[in-house]
Amino acid sequence: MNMKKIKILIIGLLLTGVPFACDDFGDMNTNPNLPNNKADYNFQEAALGSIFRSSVPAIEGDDEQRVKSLMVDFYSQMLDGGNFATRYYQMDQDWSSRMFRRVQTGIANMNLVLRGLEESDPETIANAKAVAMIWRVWVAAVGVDWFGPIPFASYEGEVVNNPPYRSAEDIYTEFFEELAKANTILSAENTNPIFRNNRYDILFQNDKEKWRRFCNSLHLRLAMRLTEVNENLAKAEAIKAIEAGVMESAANNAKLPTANGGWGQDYNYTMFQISWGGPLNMTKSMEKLLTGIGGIDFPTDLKNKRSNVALADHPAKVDPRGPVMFDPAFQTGDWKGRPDGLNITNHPELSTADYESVDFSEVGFLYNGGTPYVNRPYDLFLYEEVLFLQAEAALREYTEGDAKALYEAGVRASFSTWGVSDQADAYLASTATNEAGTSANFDDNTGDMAPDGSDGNTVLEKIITQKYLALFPDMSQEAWNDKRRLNLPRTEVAMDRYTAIWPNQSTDVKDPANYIKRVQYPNNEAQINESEYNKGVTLLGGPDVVNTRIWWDTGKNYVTSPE
Amino acid sequence: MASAPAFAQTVSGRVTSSADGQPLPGVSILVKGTNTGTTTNAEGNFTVNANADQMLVLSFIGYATKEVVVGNATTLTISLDEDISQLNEVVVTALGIERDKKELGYSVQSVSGDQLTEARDVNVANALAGKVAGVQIKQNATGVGGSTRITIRGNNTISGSNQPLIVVDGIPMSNFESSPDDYWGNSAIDKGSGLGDISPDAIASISVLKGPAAAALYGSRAANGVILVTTKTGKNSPGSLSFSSNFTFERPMMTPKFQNKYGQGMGGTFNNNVKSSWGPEMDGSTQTMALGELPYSARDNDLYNDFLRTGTTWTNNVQFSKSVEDLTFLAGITRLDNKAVVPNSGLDRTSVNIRTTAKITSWLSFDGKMNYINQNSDNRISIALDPNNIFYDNLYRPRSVAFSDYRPFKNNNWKRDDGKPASYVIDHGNSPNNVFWSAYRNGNADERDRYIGFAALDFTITDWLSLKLRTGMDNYSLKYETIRATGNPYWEQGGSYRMQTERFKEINSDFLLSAKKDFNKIGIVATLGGNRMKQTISSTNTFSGDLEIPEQYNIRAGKQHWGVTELKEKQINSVYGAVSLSYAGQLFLDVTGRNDWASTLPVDNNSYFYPSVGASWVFTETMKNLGPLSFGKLRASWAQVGNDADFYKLEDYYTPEYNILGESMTVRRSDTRANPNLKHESVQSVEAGLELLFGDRIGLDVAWYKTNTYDQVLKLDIPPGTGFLFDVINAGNVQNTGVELMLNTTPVLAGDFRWESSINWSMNRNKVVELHETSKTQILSLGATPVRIIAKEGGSYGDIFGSAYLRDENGKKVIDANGIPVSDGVDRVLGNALPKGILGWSNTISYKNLSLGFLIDMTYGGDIYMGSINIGTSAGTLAMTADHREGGLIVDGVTQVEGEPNSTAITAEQYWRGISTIDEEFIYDATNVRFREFTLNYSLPQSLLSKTPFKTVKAGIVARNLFMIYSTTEGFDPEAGYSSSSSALGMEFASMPTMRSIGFNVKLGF
Repeated sequence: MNMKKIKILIIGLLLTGVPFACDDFGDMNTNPNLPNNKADYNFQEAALGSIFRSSVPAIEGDDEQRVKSLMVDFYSQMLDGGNFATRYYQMDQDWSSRMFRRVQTGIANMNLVLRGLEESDPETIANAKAVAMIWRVWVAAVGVDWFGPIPFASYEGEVVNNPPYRSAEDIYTEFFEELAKANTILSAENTNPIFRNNRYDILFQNDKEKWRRFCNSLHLRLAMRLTEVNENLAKAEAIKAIEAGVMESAANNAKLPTANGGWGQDYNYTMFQISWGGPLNMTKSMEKLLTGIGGIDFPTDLKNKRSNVALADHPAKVDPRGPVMFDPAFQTGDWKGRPDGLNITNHPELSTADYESVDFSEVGFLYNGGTPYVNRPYDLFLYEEVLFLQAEAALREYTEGDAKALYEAGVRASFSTWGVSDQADAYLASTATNEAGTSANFDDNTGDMAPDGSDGNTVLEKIITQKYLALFPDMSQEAWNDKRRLNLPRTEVAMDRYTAIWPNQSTDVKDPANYIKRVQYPNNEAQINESEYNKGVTLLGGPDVVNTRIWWDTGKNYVTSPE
Repeated sequence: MASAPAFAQTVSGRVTSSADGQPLPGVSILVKGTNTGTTTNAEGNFTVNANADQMLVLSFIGYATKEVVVGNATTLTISLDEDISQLNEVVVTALGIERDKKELGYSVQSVSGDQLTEARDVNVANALAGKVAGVQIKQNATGVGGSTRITIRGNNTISGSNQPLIVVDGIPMSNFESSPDDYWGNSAIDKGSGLGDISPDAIASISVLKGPAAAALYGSRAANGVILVTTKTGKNSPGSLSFSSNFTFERPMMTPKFQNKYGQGMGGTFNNNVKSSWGPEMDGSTQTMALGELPYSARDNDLYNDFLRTGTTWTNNVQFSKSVEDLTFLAGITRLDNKAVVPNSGLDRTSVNIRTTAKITSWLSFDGKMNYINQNSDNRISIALDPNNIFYDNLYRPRSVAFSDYRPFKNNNWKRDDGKPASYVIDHGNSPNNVFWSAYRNGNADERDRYIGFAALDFTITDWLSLKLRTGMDNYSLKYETIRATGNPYWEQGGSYRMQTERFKEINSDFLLSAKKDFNKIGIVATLGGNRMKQTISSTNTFSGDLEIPEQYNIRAGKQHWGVTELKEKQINSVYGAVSLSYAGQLFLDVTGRNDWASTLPVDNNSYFYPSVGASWVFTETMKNLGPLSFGKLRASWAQVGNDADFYKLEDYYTPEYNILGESMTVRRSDTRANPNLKHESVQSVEAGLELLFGDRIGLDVAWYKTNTYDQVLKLDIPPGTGFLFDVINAGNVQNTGVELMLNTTPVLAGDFRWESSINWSMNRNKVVELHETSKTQILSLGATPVRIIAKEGGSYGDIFGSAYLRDENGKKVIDANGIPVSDGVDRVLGNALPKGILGWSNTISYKNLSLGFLIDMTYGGDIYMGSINIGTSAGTLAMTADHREGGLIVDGVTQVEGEPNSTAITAEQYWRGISTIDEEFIYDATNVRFREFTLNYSLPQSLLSKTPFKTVKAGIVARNLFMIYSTTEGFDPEAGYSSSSSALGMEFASMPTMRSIGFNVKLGF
């Protein structure tokens, strides 16, 4: 081989670059597109600030429609619409897995934040830590009330790769401890802000006192959940919460701001009903609760705001919040509720007017000054609910509070929320009853809870009916929880419950077994987490189906309505 | 090297093909036992110096080698027989090394370029269907230019790609899959798959390297096999110009039957706001429909005839080639114009291919190629549940709605007065319910520019040692626009515009040192090589929504706009070597080894080595006279192939986002938990085979294989309790076992009449031997689907999981009090998506200049969830829903409470809507047999051509997907899936019908 040949060969070899094959790849596999913990930035703060909008139940439109609008709103019988099988208690695996995922990611994210915060100076991060602790309970509580036992990982000690399912009782015990600790932290003299910048706290803008009251109100809410399963614990925790200081006025309300930002940033109900065009109907149950109570005349100047169809058929008397909550039907102008849980396939005898969404009342507060109310804040926890919780605690003699005063203050707070305060006096004085037999007048009652011979007008029925109306619609989760705890208020039995579970279609409103009791674990959990899932089902204490009661639901009935 | 020049004489001659008498250029002629030889020129003529008693050995690809005694003749006319058995075939193997097929210890099967251009398909991958044993070709039902899924010997990996590596002229080419389309459509339009860009006219042959042994030298990405494409060169061309043209018409191959008796409504009552046909019998009376006062009757409501058009595809190719002494040149231009069956959609593609080789000095030669491809596509169709999928709309559009009902809205841009699409329902829900809106207003367009090329230098260092240096690239850029028209319901109502770009670049540089030496009966070939692969992918995605000025589709116009950019880079460095030993043309042994260093693995553990061994024994050379057996070979091989991981899986990252008010940054963690300890995955395979040839009429090749994939880099579903949805881990053992059989026969050979018939048959069994210590099930399907496709430990890849009928202990369906079957509420395995076997039967019958070919193929076993039948029955549009409209349907089963025989009569509507969530009902056997290809060609005889300027004239009739011979799926093609990604196996859902294409072929050579 001559030199020329060798030179060309070497040049060629150099051009391919192959001889240097074993070079170091440098940062080639470091993602240039996204930051990681090595960045000079406090991701804990951003992660904590991010959680409120991605938490249950107020979440971006896609998931919220499925888990809230098409499940909880049906189960609480506050709203109806479409022909979704979840209306008659058939599970949609995708929807329930979205919920399961939301809860678990929420808990995990808060755990990461809490572990991450540990690395900083304890004094500086104390308040942020308390907020993360509260929010961790908030998210987990919705999860446990849906499914029963769920994985609830700790943020202390070694990280558990696959956190085990824990019983509802065990989880509730931790809730109370955590909330008490958070209250202690927030009560301490510590002027360090929760977030370095107020705007990251989209709920309370770094107002430590509001967070503290939110924390204790949540504590009270969860304590009252246990009235039927563990009266002593319910009482002790309710007292603790009230003494620590719950919400004191509407200024303490927890609301999630929304924005006119389209997908996932709007007030989702506006998007569902107006943008997507699917009416969210008043249910027959809701119609019966609103009709007649308070003895106030039905306003006749009402019309459907989407179609401008004028009011047609309507009840003579109505709860004044009713016509604000619900517009007359899109097509007929009738003010009436759609039958709950109707599976049209089973009823060839019905005409379309018996179930068509456009023939029934729909959500009526989705316009603001004539334009879609896309930035209506989402209610997370309102002062009126806290008053009704205290009223029930007083009624049960957990506290020495005045049940009547608390009840009436609750009704007034709700009337104020719905802009009908001027009618509150007349309403509270009236003994006119709704179609469940319940009146608004506290003293017009048939006993405290459920004495013999009552007809829908016990004090407990009054409190829970008013609480139910006050929770509409964003907090329907709490309404479903009360329904399972007390079987209150009186609601219709869904017409076509899933026949695999309810082969006998009883319509007895006093039998709590006729209503949905929980959400089935998503199928993929049984597939990808089989052994833990099986332990979870054992903790549940019954088969993984929708009529197995969870721990705090003892199957009590407090409905005394005649039918 | 003795020769006897004293007695040498000059022998000249001409070599022709025995089949058609055409001269054969490029035939290699060797004087037996010497180094003296030559090749025939363009006219098939040669001259060589040889003694009268010497033998000439003539060999040529595709023809049986022939030995001829020189004798006293000075002019020889030799005709060569086509080698139908192809056992002496020279095949292109790993790294572009040409090998005699009989030496190989593994299975390789080739397809010639001609087989791909006759009954051609816009995507060349589809033309491979039925032609290669063990290869499954699954075409996406997304129309022309859609992607195609290729799997060789089953599915090896659970969460990665199961598609083979594509290598064109020695350079890997990206066979990108369009982002996996999910069940919801989500406008993730199928933009085609990589191999489809190559024009079949440029292809000389395709070799399929089926197992890891064949592919071992290609390393990491060859674990699923390799498809080696060899493009044409200008070798041995005296200067030729050829022109070919192909024109085809496309219509659906099969369509479902719809009922035309009942119109829009529910419960037997007319209703202008429902997407179903459960209304009363259509009586022609005028009704207030959502589209106006119209007759309630079945008028022009047939999508296939009243909306779709006849598609056309016209392909023209011009090719020039010439070789002069040490230079060869080839240039080809192909233009394809397609007008798709869906109005307003179509595709065009221009491909330019230039190849040149030059022998620069006695020791240096050059080879270079540049291929430029430009493809433009308009309005690719939407799929699955996407609101713009017109085939989805067709399944629930009431039968009383006619396409002509939309005509009055044409001049108003298909809008009704409120600015929303004219629709057959008052409330849109999520869909335009207007196929004109979907086809003409919500559009998309994509444009791809692709450059594929290489330059190579070959050094002959000594007579036994050579070096090849080569650098090649595959580089494409894609621009993709999507428009949602102003007024669109549900999503993006204000109208939106999205522009995405993607740039892909892969550069492979390699060297290959080859030594070849024979020692008596022992031959040695040794190679040593190195490769550096660098891949860079960058993309942008910009969006503009809520358009202030209607119909202004550009990024500035929207009130909301955002943009995302992304860059991904990876590199693999490799060193490899191979030694091939042969003994007396009977025994062959191949040993290879390769080491890779991959940038996507942890720095301290990024190196991995994998070997292969292959052996073959031509026992007919050892044991002569085995009766009718003229050739027999046993082969066996063992191989291991490693594979790297995906980009950026070693560390966790945050995704920053801003809420719309811009007040605060929110961060989202990845759903996938990073794994800093990731290692390479490994595929191990054993294979054995037998090749037999009985005379020249029957050839048989049987192969058995077992492939195990260990330590797969799995994106594993993990319990959400972990805070993540996926883990990236190394785990699992997936096993594929299979048998392949190739039978080539010539049943009739009588004078000018010849019938050749070949059968490719394969079966594959998949077993998920092991998955993960805690996670025993992996969900393959993406997002919410009616059934889920899973891989479960102890089960098979592709099990279909869904709800079943509740049954009593005797297996009878349980019927509820309403008379409707009850779902048992527990998901179970309802079938498996993978076929049990694939059979292809191809035939060529020729008589003189006339030849007729056809291909029938069959996929048997395997199940499919027929989403179309689910929608079409619950909406009451399919013909099968026409009976029992008035009631009287009693489902066979027992009552739920009493366990008595069911006697409750229901209507068809109650039945079909009642069982619509019971998946078991919609699982069908996916077995199907189809008439895949037909060709009829005539070549003008030389006697006629001699008076014309043409050297060859060939014309023919070609057809693809003529008809379905057998299927159980009620007018739908069970192979028309909505996505080619593995996540959508086993699910059919409102797919576009498979197209039948019929047309003409003309080929002229000058």
